[in-house]
Amino acid sequence: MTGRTIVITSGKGGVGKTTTTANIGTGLAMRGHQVVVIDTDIGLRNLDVVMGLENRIVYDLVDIIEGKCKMHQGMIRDKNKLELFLIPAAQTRDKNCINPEQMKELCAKLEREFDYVLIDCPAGIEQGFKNAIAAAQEAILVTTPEVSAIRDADRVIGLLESEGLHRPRLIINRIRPGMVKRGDMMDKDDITELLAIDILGMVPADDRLIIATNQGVPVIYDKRAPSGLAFSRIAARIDGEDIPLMDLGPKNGIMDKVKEIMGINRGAYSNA
Amino acid sequence: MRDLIRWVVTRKENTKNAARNRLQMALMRDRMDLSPDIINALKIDLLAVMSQYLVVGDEFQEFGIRRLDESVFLVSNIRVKELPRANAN
Repeated sequence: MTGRTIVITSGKGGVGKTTTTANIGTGLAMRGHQVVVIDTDIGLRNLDVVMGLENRIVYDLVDIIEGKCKMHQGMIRDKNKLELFLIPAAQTRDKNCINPEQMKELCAKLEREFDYVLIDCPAGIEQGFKNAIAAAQEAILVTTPEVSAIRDADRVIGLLESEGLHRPRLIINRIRPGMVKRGDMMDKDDITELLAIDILGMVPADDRLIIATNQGVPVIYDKRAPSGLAFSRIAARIDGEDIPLMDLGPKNGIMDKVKEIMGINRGAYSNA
Repeated sequence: MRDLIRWVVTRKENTKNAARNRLQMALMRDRMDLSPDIINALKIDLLAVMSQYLVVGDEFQEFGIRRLDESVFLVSNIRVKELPRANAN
C-alpha cells in the first residue's frame, strides 16, 4: 500500500484546521479507507479533544519519533471508526524537539499501512509548519472569508510552493450565506481569484458543528448539519469523486423561509 | 442622526468589495516582496539607463508602486535637464 500524505494548513490560527482534519479523516474512514491523522501542534495539541479521544492518550508523536514506544503503541484507534487512528502531539514539549527528516521517515512508514496520512499543521510558519509540511505530497489550505486569514493563506501558498508543494487546494470555512448575499462577505469567486488557487470545498458557518465538537464528535456524523454535509462532499472529492460545487446561500422561496422558521434547515443551504 | 444617515449611506457600498480591494493591494505588495534594497537598486539602474539617452536629475521626484483600478503601476518622475538634439548624430 502506498498512501497519500496530505497536510492541512492555513497560516492563521483559529480558522478550523483541526476541525477540518478531524472531519476529513472521519469522512475518508467512513468511505472505507485506512486513515491516520497526526497532530503536529506540539505543545498545543487539540485534535485529540476535537475527536473525543483525549482520555485515551498514552504515548504521543514525540515518543514515537524518539523511539520511546513502537509506532503502533502511539496510535489511538477512533471510538467509532475501526479504520481511523490518531497520533496525538506531545503537550509538554516544543516544536523544536522534532525535525522535518524525522517526519518524513515516520510518514513513509505510515504510508505503507494507510491509504491516507493526514497532518494537522500548527498555526504560523515557523518550525512546526516546516515539520508538518515536510512529508506531505499534497496540501489543503483552510481559510475563512476574512482579510487576515486570506492574507496569511497567500503567504502560505508561497511557502508551500517553495517547498515543492504545488497547487494546494482551498477550503473556505465558516461562510455565512446571508452575509455573502448582502454583499458583506467575500464569496468563493472573490477568494479563489485573490489567491489564484483551486477550490476543494466550502463549509458554511454552522451552530451544529459547535454542538458536535462540544461532545467530541466530528460533525460529519450529524446528518442534519450543513457543515457535516459539506465535509462529506470534501472527503469524496479528495477521494477522487467528481462532485460539483454548489452555491451556498439561503434560498429565497417562501417555503424555505417557513422551513427555516420551523427549524428544518436542511434545505436552507445547498451543500457545498 | 447625521451619523445614522452616514451609516445608512455608507452601508450601501458592499463591504466585501472594500475587503477585496484592500486585500488585492496587500497581496500584491506581499508577493512582490520588493525590499528597500531592491527598490534602491532599481532606481540606480534606471538612472544609469536614462543617462545614456538624456541628461536627467540625480534623484527621482517620485518613485513608487501605485495601484490604478485593477493594475499595478510603477510611477516615477524625474527632471530632464537636457534633451538631445535631433541631429546630434
